[in-house]
Amino acid sequence: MFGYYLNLALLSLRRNIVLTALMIIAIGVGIGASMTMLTILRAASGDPIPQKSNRLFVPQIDNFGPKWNAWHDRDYLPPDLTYIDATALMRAHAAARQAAMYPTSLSITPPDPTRNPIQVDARATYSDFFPMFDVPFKYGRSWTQAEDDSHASVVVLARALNDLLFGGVDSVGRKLTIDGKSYRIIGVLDDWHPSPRFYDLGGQTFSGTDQLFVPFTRAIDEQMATSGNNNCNGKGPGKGWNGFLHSNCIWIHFWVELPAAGDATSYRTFLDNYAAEQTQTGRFSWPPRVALRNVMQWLSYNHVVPPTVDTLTGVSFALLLVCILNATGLMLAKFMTRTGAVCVRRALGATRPAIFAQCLVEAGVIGLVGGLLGIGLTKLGLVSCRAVLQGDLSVLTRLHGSDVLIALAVALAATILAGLYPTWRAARVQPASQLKTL
Amino acid sequence: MARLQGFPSFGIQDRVMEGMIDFIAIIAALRHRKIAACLIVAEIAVAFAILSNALSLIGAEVERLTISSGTAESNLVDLFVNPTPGSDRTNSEAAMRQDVRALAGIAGVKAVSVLNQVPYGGGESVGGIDLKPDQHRLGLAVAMYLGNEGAIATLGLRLIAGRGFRADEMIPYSRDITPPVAILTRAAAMKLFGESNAVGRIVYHAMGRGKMTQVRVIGVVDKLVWPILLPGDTGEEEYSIIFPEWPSYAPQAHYLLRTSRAQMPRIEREAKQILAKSNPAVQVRWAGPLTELKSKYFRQERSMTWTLVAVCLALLIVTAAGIFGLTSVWMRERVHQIGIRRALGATRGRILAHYLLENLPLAAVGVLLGAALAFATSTYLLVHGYSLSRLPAPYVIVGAAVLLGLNQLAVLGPARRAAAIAPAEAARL
Repeated sequence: MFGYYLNLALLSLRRNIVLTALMIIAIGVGIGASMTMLTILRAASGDPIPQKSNRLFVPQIDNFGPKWNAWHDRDYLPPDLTYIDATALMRAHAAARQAAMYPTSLSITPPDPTRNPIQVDARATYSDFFPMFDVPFKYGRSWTQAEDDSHASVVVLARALNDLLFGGVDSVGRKLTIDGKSYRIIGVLDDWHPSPRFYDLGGQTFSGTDQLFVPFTRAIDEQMATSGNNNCNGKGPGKGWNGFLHSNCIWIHFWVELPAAGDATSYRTFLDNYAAEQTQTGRFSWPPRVALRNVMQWLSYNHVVPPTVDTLTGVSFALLLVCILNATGLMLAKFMTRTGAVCVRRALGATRPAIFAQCLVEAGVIGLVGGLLGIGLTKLGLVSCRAVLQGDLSVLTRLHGSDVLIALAVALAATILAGLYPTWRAARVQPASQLKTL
Repeated sequence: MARLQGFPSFGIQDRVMEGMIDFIAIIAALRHRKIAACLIVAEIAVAFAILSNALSLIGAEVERLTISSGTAESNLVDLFVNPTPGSDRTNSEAAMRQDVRALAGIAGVKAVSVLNQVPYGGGESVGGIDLKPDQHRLGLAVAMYLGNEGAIATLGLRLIAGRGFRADEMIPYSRDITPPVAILTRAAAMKLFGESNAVGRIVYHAMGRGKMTQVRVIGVVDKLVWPILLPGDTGEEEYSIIFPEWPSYAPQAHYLLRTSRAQMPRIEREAKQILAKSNPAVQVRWAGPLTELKSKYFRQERSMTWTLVAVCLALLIVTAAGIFGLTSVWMRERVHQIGIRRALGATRGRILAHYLLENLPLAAVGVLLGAALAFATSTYLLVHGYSLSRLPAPYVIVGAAVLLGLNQLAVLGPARRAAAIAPAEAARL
């Protein structure tokens, strides 16, 4: 019977091409708009490290005091740490894994002497960074804690930088000149683009990548300045690099891994005690305030999803609603033109459910074709949206295979929903009323 | 009644009566197509709600796009420099003076200035100034511009009180010393001193480490916005102060060249070459007209605007399609009826007028409902922080006009086809 219904549906659709086309356009546009925004929303608010996002935490300490925090919301805490606090936390080693880090901009002299020096975005961090964030390695290894302690002159390259400098071969063991000094390459990463780049939300949150990693201790020795946010309230920094390190300027990000269930509570207690100690020694002149947030909480706290994404998602769902409404109207119109045919079928013995089923098949065909159009429009939408969002977010707007299936399913569901009332109306027609006029 | 004779009637009274009869007929006919009528009302209402809010959002974005920085934007070329890696990072007033002199020598450059930050340039240097030397008070947050003595003139800032800087008032870059004089923007002066004259008055600059330095206001300029402009800025982005202090190359400095648009590409090229030769200790990270910096800065707003426009167009097309579809099918159902009317003497024009007006009551109800829905949506957006103001009335009126017009356009086709039906159709049973 399905094949028969399909035939009837196709015949009927062909009979009134204009109406059919209008319906397909209506569904297609609605699906296109909603799928575009859903893809972007998913990219913007997804979990960047789902396998352990609830075991990675950011500690925050109030090192500015209520006077400076008054500039912000009531619950505000500084997002970064000072050098003093970061190194103190590293020394205390209260977490299973921990890493302080900061971004810096370094000048690399390529091995090819004919090429100019290039500027790269780098990160100064500790050895735990790599196992904490499950960073994949292509060649070599990360440095060890011993190398942290000995301020070793080693670096780890990102894959893209290795491709650029060495043509992608195994460059472990080679030397690299950075800011005029020589460093030994001990590892090369594989492709790694957590999105959003949750561990550093300053700057390019979605597309910024670290090209090079250098031990924090070495970076401090070399006085590598931060290229990230730096906030010094009240007491400005003293003179020079040392003055900067001993100031209350916040510029260091800190992440810890707390694998076991109760670890978060005990680390929180440790933070409270540490802050209380600072108050006692007179370094802070206010009551201790700390916070500990895991990855998703941290992203939410920092409003990583831009408000434009939210607005546009709402707008596109509203558009889908309009499209469904109009599709209902058009389908009503369509079925009203076919009451004659329906009556003949009823007179010949078709039951109401049979008519209902046939109309649903017709709606389904429209839904499928509309869905295909919608997918095409989604691709178009994603391409044009690359410009809407900060260049940042655009790297993630790819359509997955599963999205195609979802789009078709939604199109089908929407069309059938839109067709329910018209279908019911069509099936309810009294055969006798129409047969007289034929 | 006069109608049944079928003679054309030119009297106004008759016309009015015709119209009234038509209107009653239309309303009566609605009884038979309740659901379809409700659908049309719903389509128009939802479309209207979305359209007016989208227009309002577009308006907000366009407002941001057309912001003026207070400078002579279209005549400025910006060279964004910072120290070359590995170079001596200390500041050099002498090198800056030399650069300014060299750049001023380029043909077509009317003036050159160096600043620590520029509007649309990001990288904000903000400080606090206050009326009292009380470090426990929260002062006024101002963008701190450091520039050489020609900065006011080069930027094209309009001096509305006092005077500009003199060459002997310039001080070299220092983290610990503030110049004794400064220039405020009008907004900052109003905020601190109200209507009274700000020139000659004293403000205190919070230097850090509890130190407050005294600064005398020697001039007020009309407008100079912050280097970073956030949506929802309620005038706070106009609080700026300008100090006569040579900026530092680190983290960034800007050479601004005042020139005419036509010469900008050449001047940009020559300026980069000159700086590379005369001062290898700095590198040009970016160079271009200030208007290009502005358009880069507002790229998101621009794209958002186009997206919303696309959404509005899609909305209108789909709604028109829906109305067109429903209406044309109704026409087809009433071929018989129209044929009878034509046979009884109704002119083509009357049929056309009747069917053009047929949807109007529905559209009107739809617009009214839609207006209520639009205001409800706009309040929701406001409460949840997606928009900054309630729906302004002009957008509602424009939206209503557009939708009513769209409705008429959509029924035009079917109405004309209805008018073209020959009386003989009445005979076909």
